[in-house]
Amino acid sequence: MFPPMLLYLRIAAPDRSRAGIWLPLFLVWLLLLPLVVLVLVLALVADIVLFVLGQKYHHYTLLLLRAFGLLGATRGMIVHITSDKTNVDMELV
Amino acid sequence: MSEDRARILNMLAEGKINAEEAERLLDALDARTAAPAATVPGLSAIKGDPAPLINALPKFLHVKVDGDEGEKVDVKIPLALVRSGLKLTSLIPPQAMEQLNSQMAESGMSIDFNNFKPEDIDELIEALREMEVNVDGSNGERVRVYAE
Repeated sequence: MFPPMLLYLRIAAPDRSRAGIWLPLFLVWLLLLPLVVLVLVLALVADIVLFVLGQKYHHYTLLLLRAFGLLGATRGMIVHITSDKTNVDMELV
Repeated sequence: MSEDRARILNMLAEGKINAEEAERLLDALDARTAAPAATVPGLSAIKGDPAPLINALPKFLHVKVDGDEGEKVDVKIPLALVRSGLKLTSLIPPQAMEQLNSQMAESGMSIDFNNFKPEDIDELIEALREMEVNVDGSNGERVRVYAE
């Protein structure tokens, strides 16, 4: 499951209509990709070492992958907050 | 009103189905306990097989709060997040899980995440289908939580 690609954000006073902005989260993921790959490789090496040593728990790679899946599951989240002072709209696409 | 019935009526209101099709779907809901949706006569004639509609797991958790001073909060959370979170708990290292369970117990929540099985997730989400929480405060504030 892919992480959210875009974030729609609109913060405005109730009496002012302000257009929201679309933030390209995919650029952030692209920048973080080398770091993610490095962390996954390290986790894989750790899992192999732990497995060879006979440790019962050696699932750090799968844990990281599931954590990324958790990030992908946030797609479709919508938050609308309306108050006297500020209106906030947020959507993860 | 059950969520399935509400969903069918919303589709009728949005014009996605006509009154005759809505009536057939509602009849199918009533007959669901007696026969599977796919065998109810006339259902197959409806454009877009309604069986997935009737049997689909809820996909979002809605939390709506209307404050007493006009403030409103409306949050729509994908239930896939709950599913992924529960799957993640099955992979947390044992020592971290013990700390997590003890912290939860200190907060008054005696939940052992070791007991969550991935096969129970669909059953949990299915159970959310009929969940609806409505709270009306003394000052006019309202809280509504439901899955759809």
